[in-house]
Amino acid sequence: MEDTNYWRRNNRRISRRSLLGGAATLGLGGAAAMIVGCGGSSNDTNSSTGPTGTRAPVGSPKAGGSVTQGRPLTVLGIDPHQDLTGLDIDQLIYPYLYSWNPVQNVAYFNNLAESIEQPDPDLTQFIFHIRKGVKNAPFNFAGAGEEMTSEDVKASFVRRGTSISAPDKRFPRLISKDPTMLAAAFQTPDPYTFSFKMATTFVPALREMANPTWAMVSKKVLEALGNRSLTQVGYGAGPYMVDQFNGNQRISLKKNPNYFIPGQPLLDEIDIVVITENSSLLSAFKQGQHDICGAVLKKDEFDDFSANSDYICSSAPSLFYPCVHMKMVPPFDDIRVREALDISIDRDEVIAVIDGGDGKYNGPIQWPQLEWALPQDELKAFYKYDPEKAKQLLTQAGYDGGFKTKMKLPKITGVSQIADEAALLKSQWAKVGIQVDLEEVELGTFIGSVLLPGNFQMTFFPNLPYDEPDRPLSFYSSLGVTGAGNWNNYTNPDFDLLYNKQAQTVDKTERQSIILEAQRLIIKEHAPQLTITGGNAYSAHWNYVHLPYELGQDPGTKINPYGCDEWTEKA
Amino acid sequence: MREYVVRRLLLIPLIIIGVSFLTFMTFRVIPGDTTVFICGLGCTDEVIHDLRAELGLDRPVFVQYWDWLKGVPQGDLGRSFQTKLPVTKELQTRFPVTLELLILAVIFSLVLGIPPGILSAVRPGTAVDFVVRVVSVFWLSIPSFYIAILMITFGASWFSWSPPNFATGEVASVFHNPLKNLEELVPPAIVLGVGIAAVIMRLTRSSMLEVMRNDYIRTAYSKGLKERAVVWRHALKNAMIPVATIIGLQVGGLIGGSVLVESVFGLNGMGNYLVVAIGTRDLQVVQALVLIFATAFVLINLIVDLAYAWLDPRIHYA
Repeated sequence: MEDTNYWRRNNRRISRRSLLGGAATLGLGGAAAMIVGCGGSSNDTNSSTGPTGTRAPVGSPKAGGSVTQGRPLTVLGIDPHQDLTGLDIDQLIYPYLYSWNPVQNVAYFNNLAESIEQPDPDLTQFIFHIRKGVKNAPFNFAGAGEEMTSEDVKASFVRRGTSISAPDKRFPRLISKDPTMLAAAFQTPDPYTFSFKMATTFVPALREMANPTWAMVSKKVLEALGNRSLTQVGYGAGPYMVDQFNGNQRISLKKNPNYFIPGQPLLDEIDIVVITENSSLLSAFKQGQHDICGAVLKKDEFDDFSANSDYICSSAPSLFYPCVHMKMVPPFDDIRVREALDISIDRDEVIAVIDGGDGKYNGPIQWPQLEWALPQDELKAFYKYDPEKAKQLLTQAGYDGGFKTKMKLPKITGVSQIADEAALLKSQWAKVGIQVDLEEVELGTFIGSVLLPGNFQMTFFPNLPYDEPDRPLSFYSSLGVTGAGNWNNYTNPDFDLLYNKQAQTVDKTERQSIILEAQRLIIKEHAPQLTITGGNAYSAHWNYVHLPYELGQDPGTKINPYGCDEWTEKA
Repeated sequence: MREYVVRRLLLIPLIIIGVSFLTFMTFRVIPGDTTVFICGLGCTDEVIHDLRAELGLDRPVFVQYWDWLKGVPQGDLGRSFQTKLPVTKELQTRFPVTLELLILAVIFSLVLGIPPGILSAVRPGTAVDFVVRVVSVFWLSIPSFYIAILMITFGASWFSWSPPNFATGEVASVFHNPLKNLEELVPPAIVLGVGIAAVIMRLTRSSMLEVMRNDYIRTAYSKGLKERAVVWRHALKNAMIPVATIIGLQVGGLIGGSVLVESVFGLNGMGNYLVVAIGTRDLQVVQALVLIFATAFVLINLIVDLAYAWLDPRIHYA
């Protein structure tokens, strides 16, 4: 462990080369996780432009070495059930029941659970068969080196399901309405079987349990912790164990010698260096101090890297989607005003200016979710830019010549897209007479004082990357994304019915049909969360680093758990 | 003099309590809540209520303040709401970084400010004077964080250089690896120091010009003393009195500047820590850092005041 006393600290190596995966969207994904803690991966898409650049001749994957990656956001904690800013790190330290392929939308059982059974036709019952021989890392705490069993899974489910700060309480409450009775709802008939039954079908459940907040932690660790948390420590059975944790500057992970897959992980060490200034992160990557770029890349920066064969670059459609939220108060409670705002947005200009020409129209569900999103032709026809009609609508609504309003937006370090896009929207609305004052609010204040209490007329807020249709739709439901109320004050009983129905519909074709119907209902109403466009996320790493799959590629269902298959040619 | 010093020292705790109380209350008034950072958009009134109880934020404000304040004399600056760790633990590594950065910045500001200022004053109207004045205006008009960004951007593009600490996120210890330590801290110290150097340069010049016009300087010249003796022995000491004042005041600005420069250079000092803590509304951390900065500022000003008496024997404190 690093000596925490600066005065006694020994010299350190100037640089460590190596890697870890898919990190270019970390900034946005991390910010996203911090904001909502959705747990969806930001690189999960149904389409991608694939990797560019030239990979050096590759031999067989080589064990050993280390990689360094940058990170723009401070890691406030790594308790997987409580902290939301270190979820990417949690996945390296803890085992999960299984992994999720967001491209094929399937679970694959390469982790703690060997298989699953869902005997009921309504998919309410889950029976997991736990793998034998998954042991905790040799950390210096209770439970070190011990095998994980169904009792550990149960303890983890109870802790995650009842954690105050964990996102999404909808799923655990379908297992037990009363959180204090949650433990009784789980069965562990033997050390290698874990099961539970939900009150009703909840189709997103399988996706939900693969989220990084559903980490499996040893029961002995949890008992020994008592009231303390895992915020500053990591006691897991994942591929890596914590060597040094200082979430403000550096997180150092080393290989778990007890890991259940022989020979895995390949890397000896992963270093994550926190630098909160985006230009400094970019500079560190260019100079080879970081093996994986931690900066949030823009299109032109990505193009520069792509032109250099020393880097492997990839891009994928981004599920991150800023959208305009309105409060259902005058003038926005008038559908004509909302429509005027909607059709006075020139989405093609947004794609050209903000998305670097690589973007598409977004409906209520982001366009990269191809199976669930409305077709592009339909969206383009519906959102046709028509400033003249917008002016007429405003006149009909009693706002001849437009009106003045204020739009609040969050200020997120290193992410300029929100402010840039808001400025563009402001200029487009000005053309139809809607004068919008932009007010940038520091992120913490924005969430606590603007968004959650609904303290806005208009706000421009980046919704997070979701790869399951249920979550983007929840923003329009009467209960909203928090389950406690819709901050736009929007209520539509017809939509609520469809929203609840889709979550209970097992048949995929039928569910698709319901989701499309729900979206058409929303856009027809110009419901007070106007979606605009979606662009691409970009990543880059040095070509001596090898990831099992690049940003946007289909990982397949044969790879090892997250963090295992990365390797570096450098010693 | 002794009485004056004692009186000033006795005032320090009162000032510190005042500053910490204002900081504490300000964080109660401004929007934003640390609990929101912990639970994100999953926050509901119920969650926020439970988290506030867990962090002790549901207690009366004055009780919270008193609980924090009574720990301070024992070296307990509280625990971070976010990391749950004692603030003093984090400061063990951060305080030396900021202290060294500030010391180096002051040294650079003096080296870059005083000699050119003197040269400019003793050679008024010459090319040297012109260059010094242009440079000082240039340094004054560019914010330090912008110089920092330019240094990193052009350092990377033109010289393939970027701060070595970018690789590890840590600053090498000055005792164990002084060369690497200097390599990491000299560029940000220069960036931080040039703004103050410009102020010192201009003040030194104007103060020296004023002193050089005094009768006793003319007398010194007429006695046949060499210019070096006149400048160093007779003019400089008097000209330095206002400069000393401004140095004391500018150190406060340096502390503020360090917040930005540390962020850009990725230095994990107290300034960077403060930025993160303010952003996450981590009151305990902000409170501790403000306490330290305020104490440092008050002490530096006391030292500057005492330095007057040493610089000018005519000054006496009653």
